[in-house]
Amino acid sequence: MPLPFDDIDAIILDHLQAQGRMTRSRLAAIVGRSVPAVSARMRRLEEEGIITGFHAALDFRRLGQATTAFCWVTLRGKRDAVPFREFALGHQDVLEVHAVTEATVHVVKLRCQDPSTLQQTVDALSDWPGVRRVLTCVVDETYKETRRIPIPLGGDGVAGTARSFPVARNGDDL
Amino acid sequence: MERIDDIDVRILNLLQENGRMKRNRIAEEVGLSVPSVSERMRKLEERGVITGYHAVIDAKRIHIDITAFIRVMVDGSEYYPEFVRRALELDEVLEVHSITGEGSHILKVRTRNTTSLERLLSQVQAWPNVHGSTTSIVLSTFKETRKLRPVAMELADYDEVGV
Repeated sequence: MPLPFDDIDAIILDHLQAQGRMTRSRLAAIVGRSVPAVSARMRRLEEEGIITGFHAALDFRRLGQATTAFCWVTLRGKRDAVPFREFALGHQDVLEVHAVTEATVHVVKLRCQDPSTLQQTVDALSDWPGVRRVLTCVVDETYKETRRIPIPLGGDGVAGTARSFPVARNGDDL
Repeated sequence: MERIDDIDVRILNLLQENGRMKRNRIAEEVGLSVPSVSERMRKLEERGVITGYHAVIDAKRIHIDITAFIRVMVDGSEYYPEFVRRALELDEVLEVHSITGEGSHILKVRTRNTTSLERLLSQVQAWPNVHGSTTSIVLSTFKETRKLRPVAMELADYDEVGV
């Protein structure tokens, strides 16, 4: 099955992953198309749900939410899964919830103010009635944390990406 | 002293929600002029509160089907920097964390299929002093965000981590 987009789309996606506020005119210059053509492509990529959103990334350390942990949560049974997810999704420190291949296990990523609030959150997970056990890995250092994925370019299926772009500054962006 | 106030918090929340929001719309929302919004955004960027603006892509739509969490055990902390350096070189590795407790590192990876995952795993397992790894492959994702809940506060200082 062919990819639902061409190389121009791939280049646009890659630039917008790196620099989400890049102007349409700058993108147009990069890919060698007109501004309306680039706008139409961006609109299509959003409408088709390939781009799910644009977000400012904030430095969690600067904002005093410096404690991160990953929990492997094992539930008692299959029927606990839906209510557990409801509970986990409602918790303010929960950044991610994934069901994984091990039966009845969910991986939950937490980001909290400090180790004691983390402990409270982990206790809340462990104390939830359908939870059998929680394995918690507390993060010591984060060396990389991105949602940027390598965009496959071209028919040969080789993943190729343009590398680093500076953060957009005033005058250079929207 | 570096502080962010309630208006900064509102700007941060608007930009976390919509990273391409136009300055004039932000200005309207927070009741400031466009130049003062620009000035605040510039400061938030310069002080490293905003680290960037990014489009988020639904990986499955472009046939990158596998997300996995890999817990790795590297024996001997003198081998940690080498491990991290190698992990940072791989585009498919989205997150690299060192951890306390069981295992020494966690990698979050996003890769095309089970074949490319297998290749990645054997690569990681061949790195110096990697003693073992446990892989959890994601079946479904119910939440995945980096959104924080900023409040008016004194900004925290920290040392940049080196490898």
